[in-house]
Amino acid sequence: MSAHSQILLTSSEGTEFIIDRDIADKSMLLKCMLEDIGEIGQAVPLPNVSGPILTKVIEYCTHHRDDPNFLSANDDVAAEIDEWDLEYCKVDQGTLYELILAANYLDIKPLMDLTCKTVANMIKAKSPEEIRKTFNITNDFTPEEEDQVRRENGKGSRRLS
Amino acid sequence: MTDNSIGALVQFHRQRIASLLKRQEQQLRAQQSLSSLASSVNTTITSPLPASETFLTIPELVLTVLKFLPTKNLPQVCLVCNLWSALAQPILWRQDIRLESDFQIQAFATSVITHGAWVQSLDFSTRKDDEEGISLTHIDLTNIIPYTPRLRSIDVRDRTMDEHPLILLAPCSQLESIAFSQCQARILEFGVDDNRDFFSAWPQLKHLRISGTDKECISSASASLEKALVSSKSLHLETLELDFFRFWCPSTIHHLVRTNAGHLRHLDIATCKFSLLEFEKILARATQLESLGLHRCPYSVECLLRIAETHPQLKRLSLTDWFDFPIDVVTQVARACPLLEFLELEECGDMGIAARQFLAHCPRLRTLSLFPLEGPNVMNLFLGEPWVCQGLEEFRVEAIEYQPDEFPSAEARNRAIRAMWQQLAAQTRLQSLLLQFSLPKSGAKVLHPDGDFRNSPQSKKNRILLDDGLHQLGALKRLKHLGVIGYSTWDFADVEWMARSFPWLELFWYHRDDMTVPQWSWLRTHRPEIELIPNL
Repeated sequence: MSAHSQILLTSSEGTEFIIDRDIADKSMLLKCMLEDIGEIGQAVPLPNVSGPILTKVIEYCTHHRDDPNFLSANDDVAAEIDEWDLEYCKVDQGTLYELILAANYLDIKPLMDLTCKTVANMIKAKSPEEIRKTFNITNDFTPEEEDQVRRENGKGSRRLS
Repeated sequence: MTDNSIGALVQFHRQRIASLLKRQEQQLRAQQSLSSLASSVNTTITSPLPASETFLTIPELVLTVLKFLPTKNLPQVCLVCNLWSALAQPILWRQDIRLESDFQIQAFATSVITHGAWVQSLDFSTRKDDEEGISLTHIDLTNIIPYTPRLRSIDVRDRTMDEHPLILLAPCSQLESIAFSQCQARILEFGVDDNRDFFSAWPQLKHLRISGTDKECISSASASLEKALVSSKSLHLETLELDFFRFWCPSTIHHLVRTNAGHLRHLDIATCKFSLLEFEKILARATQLESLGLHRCPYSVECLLRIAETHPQLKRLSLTDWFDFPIDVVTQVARACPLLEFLELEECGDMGIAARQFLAHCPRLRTLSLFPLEGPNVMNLFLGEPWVCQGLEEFRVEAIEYQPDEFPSAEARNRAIRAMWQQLAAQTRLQSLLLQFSLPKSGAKVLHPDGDFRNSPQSKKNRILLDDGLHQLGALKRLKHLGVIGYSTWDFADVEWMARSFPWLELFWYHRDDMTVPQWSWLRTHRPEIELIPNL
């Protein structure tokens, strides 16, 4: 198959996107599908991904198109985010979650790592209550449970490096 | 939630995608139209929930986020909700657990009964490097180790116990790393046949760190340990650290290096009377050796050079109290270690020039730690050509000392300071930077171009507006730890610059005289995730 061939994708609203094959290959889902069934000449439906999010995902894959370390770059958990990626993640929370879900569904590990790292940075230095507020989580502990978890895992229970 | 159930969830997720792909393939083979494929995909996987709600109910995704959190943030995460707690607790308990106070140990002993199966690494050591006297505190391990079947690493240095650590830890046969102190008068009792092998209890033991004391009264206990080590036939060590065994026979180290030569990667010897000459030849057999530390022992620079030449693969070198270290030998050692990544020098000749040699010949250097930087050539480390090594990730200089009359003029001093910031700003991979300037003796001037700001508060100026070049550090976008102590005051414009320049900063060291309460609280409010640590 030619490296320059193009793939047609359809977002959840039915909008069509034409992308180069090497961009599509950044997604393990699309890559496996295209390898298994060949290029079918018709649109691949992505019913989980909306048009704006798909645009964002394609933007990411296009920027990293010639990145030789695309799949290995983020194995280092402590590695910092480069400036382009940092700017890329400056979106509202809703978009960020949509991006995580899209990266997970399309199986694009570097994008998954980047977006999850961004969420992790939002958690840092926040109290449990602030975390719940930020992410709209319900506190489902009973007071006894909460007390026990605090005693066993709380900040004073050990010295953390 | 256990590992298994998370694994099962991940597996479920993968299978879902795989089955989808399979179905698509089958449908294609059946020559069905793609529109029907789309509808089948639609019915299988679309979820109507808003993204933010879906995201937080998928353990696999929450786990991916938690993976990127530093350990110190995990305790709060455990308190968010049941799901997050179930996912974060195993991660937290698998980390190296450091227990210092009696309170922490007591609390741990209670919860280890339920959570002990996760525990892999325990650190009870109370060691502080700079403290002269060692204070020993007693711990009871008998109510902890029965509950930690997966414990791989334990450090009980500077702790006393009811029995000798080697006897007490013998039931933990899975241990790979043991660190303890021979700091009490407990003698290892050999059997009548005189060849009991105490170390055969741990077939997987790879890392052994032992420290002693110089107290005469326990020399017989220390000698029994020496005998246990020398007579053991079951040691296969990758790591050997010995600290403070002044009464041990030099042939002991010779024996230990010889019997472990095939495995030894890391050797660190401190405050012993073993001279390098005693085991230089045998060390050549340790062809895997990549880390060497020699502290406060009889030394020989020629010998070190020969070792460096026979071990060109050395990655870590740590030296303390090599007072007489001629610069031509330093240069040859640096040339002999082109792969060096970690260098720590304490009281080794002319430190500035020595460090410069390593920066010129070891392009892979990642960590450089110096103590102290002093003498007439204090700034030579920074002046002149740019460093060849451009990949430093950690740079620590504690105690930068100088005499004001070392600089012929104020201009020369300012030039030296600008050179310093310029060299450091070029190290764009730096993640940790610590410069600790020693406070000058009374009457002396501080290094800062603004002169003796401590004694004349009216001369305090906005530091950034000064043309001292410090603001160039803003190029170090990866900085996580920063400390410039005893150099100047941190003004509002400075802390604002800091908050803006370093997006990943986690730690900031400062001296109480360098920052006033308003700056401190501004930083606290605007970058709450930065831990502010007063002078070391």
